[in-house]
Amino acid sequence: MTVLAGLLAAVLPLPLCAPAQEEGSAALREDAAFARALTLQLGFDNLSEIQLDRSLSKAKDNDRAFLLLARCDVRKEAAQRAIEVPARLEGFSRAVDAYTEFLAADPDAELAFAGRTSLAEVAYLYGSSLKLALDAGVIPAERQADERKNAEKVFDRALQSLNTLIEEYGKLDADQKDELRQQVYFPSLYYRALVYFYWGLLYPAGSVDRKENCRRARQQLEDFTLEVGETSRAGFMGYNALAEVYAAESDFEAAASYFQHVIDSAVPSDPNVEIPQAELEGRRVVVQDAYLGLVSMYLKQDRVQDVIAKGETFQAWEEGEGVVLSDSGYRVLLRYADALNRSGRYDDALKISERVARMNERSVLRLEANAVARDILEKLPADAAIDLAVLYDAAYGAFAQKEYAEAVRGFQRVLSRLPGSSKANEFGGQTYYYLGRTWDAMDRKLEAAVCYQLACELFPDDQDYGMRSAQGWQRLAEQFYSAAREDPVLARFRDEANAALGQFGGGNVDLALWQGAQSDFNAAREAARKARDQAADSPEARAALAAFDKALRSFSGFQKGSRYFERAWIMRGRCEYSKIAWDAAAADRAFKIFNDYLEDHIVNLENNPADPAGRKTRAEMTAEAAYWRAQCRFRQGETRRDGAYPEFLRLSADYATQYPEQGDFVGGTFFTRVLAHLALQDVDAAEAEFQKLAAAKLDPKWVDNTAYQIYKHYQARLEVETAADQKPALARKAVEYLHASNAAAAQPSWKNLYAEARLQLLLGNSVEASRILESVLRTEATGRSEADQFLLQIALVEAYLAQDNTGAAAPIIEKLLEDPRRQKDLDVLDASLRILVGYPVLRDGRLIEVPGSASSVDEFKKADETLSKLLVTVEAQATQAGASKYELAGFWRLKLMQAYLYYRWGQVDGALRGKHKTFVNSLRSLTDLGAQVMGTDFRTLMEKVEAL
Amino acid sequence: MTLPWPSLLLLLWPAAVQTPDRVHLMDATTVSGQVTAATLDAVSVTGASGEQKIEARQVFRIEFADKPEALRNAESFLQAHDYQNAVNSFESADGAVGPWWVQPVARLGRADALLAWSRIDKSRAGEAADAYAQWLSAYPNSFFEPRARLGQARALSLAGKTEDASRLLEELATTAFQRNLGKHVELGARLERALAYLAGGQAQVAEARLNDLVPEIGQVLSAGPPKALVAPLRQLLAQAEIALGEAKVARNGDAAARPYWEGLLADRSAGPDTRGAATIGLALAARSEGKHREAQLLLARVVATLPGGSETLARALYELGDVSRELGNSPVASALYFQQVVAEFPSSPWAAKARVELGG
Repeated sequence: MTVLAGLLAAVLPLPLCAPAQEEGSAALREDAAFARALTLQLGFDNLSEIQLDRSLSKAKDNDRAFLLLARCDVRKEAAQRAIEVPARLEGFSRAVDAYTEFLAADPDAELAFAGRTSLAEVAYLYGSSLKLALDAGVIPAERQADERKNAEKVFDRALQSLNTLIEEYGKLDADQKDELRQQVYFPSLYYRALVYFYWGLLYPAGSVDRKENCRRARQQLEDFTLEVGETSRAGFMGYNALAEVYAAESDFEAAASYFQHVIDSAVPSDPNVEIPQAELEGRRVVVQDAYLGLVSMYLKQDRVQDVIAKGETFQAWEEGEGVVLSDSGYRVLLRYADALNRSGRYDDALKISERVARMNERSVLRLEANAVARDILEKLPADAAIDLAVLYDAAYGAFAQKEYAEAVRGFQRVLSRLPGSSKANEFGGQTYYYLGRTWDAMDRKLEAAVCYQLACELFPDDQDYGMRSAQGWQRLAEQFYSAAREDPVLARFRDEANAALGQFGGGNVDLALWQGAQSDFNAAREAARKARDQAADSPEARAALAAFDKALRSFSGFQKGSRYFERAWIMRGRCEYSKIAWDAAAADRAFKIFNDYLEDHIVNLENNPADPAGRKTRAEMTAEAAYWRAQCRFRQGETRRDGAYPEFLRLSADYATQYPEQGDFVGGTFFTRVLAHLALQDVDAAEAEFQKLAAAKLDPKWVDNTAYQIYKHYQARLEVETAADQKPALARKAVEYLHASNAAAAQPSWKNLYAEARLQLLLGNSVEASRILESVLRTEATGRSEADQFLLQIALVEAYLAQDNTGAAAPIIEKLLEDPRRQKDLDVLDASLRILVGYPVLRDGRLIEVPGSASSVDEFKKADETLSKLLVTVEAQATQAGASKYELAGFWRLKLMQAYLYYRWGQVDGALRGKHKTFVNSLRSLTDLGAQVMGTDFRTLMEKVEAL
Repeated sequence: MTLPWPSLLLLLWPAAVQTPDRVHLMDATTVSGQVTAATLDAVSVTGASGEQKIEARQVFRIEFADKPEALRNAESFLQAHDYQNAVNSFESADGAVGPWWVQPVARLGRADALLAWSRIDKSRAGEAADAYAQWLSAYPNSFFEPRARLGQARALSLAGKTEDASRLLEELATTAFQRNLGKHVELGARLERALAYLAGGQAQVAEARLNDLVPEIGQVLSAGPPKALVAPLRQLLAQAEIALGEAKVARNGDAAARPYWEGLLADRSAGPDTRGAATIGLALAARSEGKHREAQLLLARVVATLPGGSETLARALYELGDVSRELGNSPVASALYFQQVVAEFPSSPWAAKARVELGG
């Protein structure tokens, strides 16, 4: 659907946009139709132009105009088909030239109407492409001056046409106006407003010229929206455009509010409102435009977390409602991917950009998606955690597109991450193979040959890619040898290639079986994903169990002597293991499979592998079997089976030293050993295990997850501990492990950082607490509610006050007090009081006065009012709890503050001088100055304040 | 129709919404806003929540946004190894209208461009060292001071003034330690010092220092450095390990270094660059024993599998070209590799040698 047709569909319930009646002589009509067909159906734009030039040389008057209009259509179509944005812009500019020539040829009224309407649409398309180009910065420096000229020409001519259309409409009588209002008048108003907007974009942000153009665009869009109806689809299109204009004027708040209005309201949420499908789809397109406007604006402002939040909402809406994505929708996903990339979520970002590329094979969107993917890959930190499958897919995509240089870089990226990866065996062989294929395609035979060789040597179990690689290696080695038969190294190179071919060549039947069994296993895992957290008797769980049984049967089909026999053995165990979630007895069956392999099969000398490939498989399967066997007992320990945890600990005790190269299995073993020790209440052993893990140089995720578990243990103990003298030691341990977890996490959550800061505060480490909280508050607040943000701010205030740094705390409290909801918050009031009055503390037996900001009688009066409010609240708390106020710590803290307030107040108001002494003394006569509740140091502090 | 606005040709291409500067911290978080000052003590950033001062030791790097066109052009020229134009453009950028940081960044960029130029034309090294010296006296206590001092030392080393370079690097390492500028600065200065000794023909001194440095970098990495430093420290470790191998080669020859390279290859935690350099070391050892074909196949492994962009790859390409030439361009032509190293690493010393081979 063209934009004009879309707009007309938006303002009209009926299809009034019928094509103009063709005119001219029969022969010329045929010529014009043929030329249009050459472009529209075959894409032969140049031939169309030649055909039209020939016909034009023979045509006169309205026939000539008719042919010129056909040329306009041809150029418009060609421009719309262009994939690169600069080519589109150039195409639309050429189309505008054609329309100008057409209108100058004095066509009759009907043709002129068609031409002007179409010219307006071309100007709109040009403008929207120009905006995209400006946003993406894709216009090369040497093209910019020309593009400015073109822009001026296009917008000038479009405005002439639109003003003529609107002027002529104004001269019509009422009936004619009714007939043409929706067909001519509304679209013209909309396009005219947008032409002003696009024109405004040509000027620097903040310039008078941009403001003036945007003001006109805004005014016209407001009128347009009211005229077409605010809740119509066209009305929402108007609001969208209005938001874009506000963004161009740097009024981001207004822009965001309009975009959000369209997102929230363009598709009615009332289920009782029936909307025809076409109208619904049209409105969804408008919503996608609004999302795009909003996330693009946020991205330019570097509001990465906001883009991520909107991207998540967009994806949920798209998937939940089954929305058909428009170009704007795909671009929303690309902006989302960009934001994910910037925040270090490389996997997700790559997956999204690849999806967009895949869904838009022959569109400019593919290029945009590829550019996003390239950006992700080029900036990918060497230590970034990323799924090998995602990297591999990106490289393979480039190979399939014959972008060989990119493919080489991509496959090399995968290779650089193979060591230590649990997916090395899955991707190693194919990566070397396809890297070889890529070099081969680039006629780099030596590089290709060594890649094939490495695939065979390093991944001898990968039958499929091993065989393919061996074929490539043998072919090239033969070529090298033929060219230098006297070279013994090349002769050996060829012999080794032949041997590899022989080694991999005989396994075709087994290979098919293996691939089938793996496919069954993958299907079972998918079923298990759907059955996660479902009851054992649920349909999903039953389907998962059946699927694993099927895979189990497939893996049981390998005979002794098969290259896959031992691998399939382990897979049988994994099938049983995977069933444990819904079938507890499967743990024993899985255990038996792994145990038989380790205790019976491999100890039997007759089963010793005869070739290097077999020996490599044996080494890998032994490591896997040992890991999974122990894990079976761990799972049983989780279900409180007697003796399971001790047996797990015994079985896994030497895993890390026996199989140090098994990165993720070693990490998983440490993690589960720590959990088992904790479950057995052997914290010392858990901590010792953690120390080994920390020294093992594994993926930091293992340190993060394991340390967090130990933190949780100490935190739980801390929460139930009643003995005050035990608490600091528990808090120290908790913070030690939480810190280790946060430090190792790729992106620690703010909640964990907040928890760490709270523990530091509890331990008196206020400097460290404030450092953490400052760091969290520096990051964008998206994802945190206002209450969360408040929690962080008030904790930071507490940390500052603990450092006697009232100066740093004051601006935060001032800001909080601007919010009426916070004006009654006890923590805020307490902090504001201390900042205002200052406060006394006892250090090394000496009284330290932390100065406050108050110096006038009025300020002290204000402080006194705050203090009274706090006292009333504390007393109410006491009543509610059925306790005496004298038993509450909060009461005594306030009384201390009250005494200090009187002291400070007395310094500026003679009438109050000495009141603090009377006040403390009166308290003394009633109580022990809080010593019973607060300790003797507190009483000393009271007395020192009294002595001031 | 006459429009009431001036010709667009007189106008600049529109600027996008102002992009904030970014301050990347050691804990791998980022602060966005306008950087208003950057000294060795603190970096000041004005953002939505007002001005904040961040201790310089917490800052890993600063990314300035909305650079003037001349500065952007200069950086593009430098990236394209067009040093003459890069130097000229940085000089133009020096006078460009813009925020406070434009002038120091432009001048430092000019010095960096001269230093890069010196790598292929050593006669520029003196000019580069002077440019850094002038910068350091114009902007004392700048956040970028360590970078300038490192550049100055590198330039002096290239100019053959090994002792001067060594002295500067020792001072930088001491300052970095005393002012707590980050372990990467101190260790980087020490590595650079060892490299200066190696370049100055004092392989024994270099080897002794690298023998101390390699395990020390490893220990810092094991101790869990701030997140932003992990990747730079790993890179330092790779550079130091490779340099240590080169120092052994310089002292006792390729064959004698074979066990060291084999040890590096056996280390599963070694990164791609280190593995590549070790494979090159083994290839050169084979070549020194007359086993040219073995050397060729080993070098082909590096060229085929090592991700691009590193000096190690530049060397592998040159060596592969060289050994293929000795093998009578069989089965591949040496020119292919010489051309690739010239095209992809034009400022590398290996490109200079390749140009000679190509007759240029």
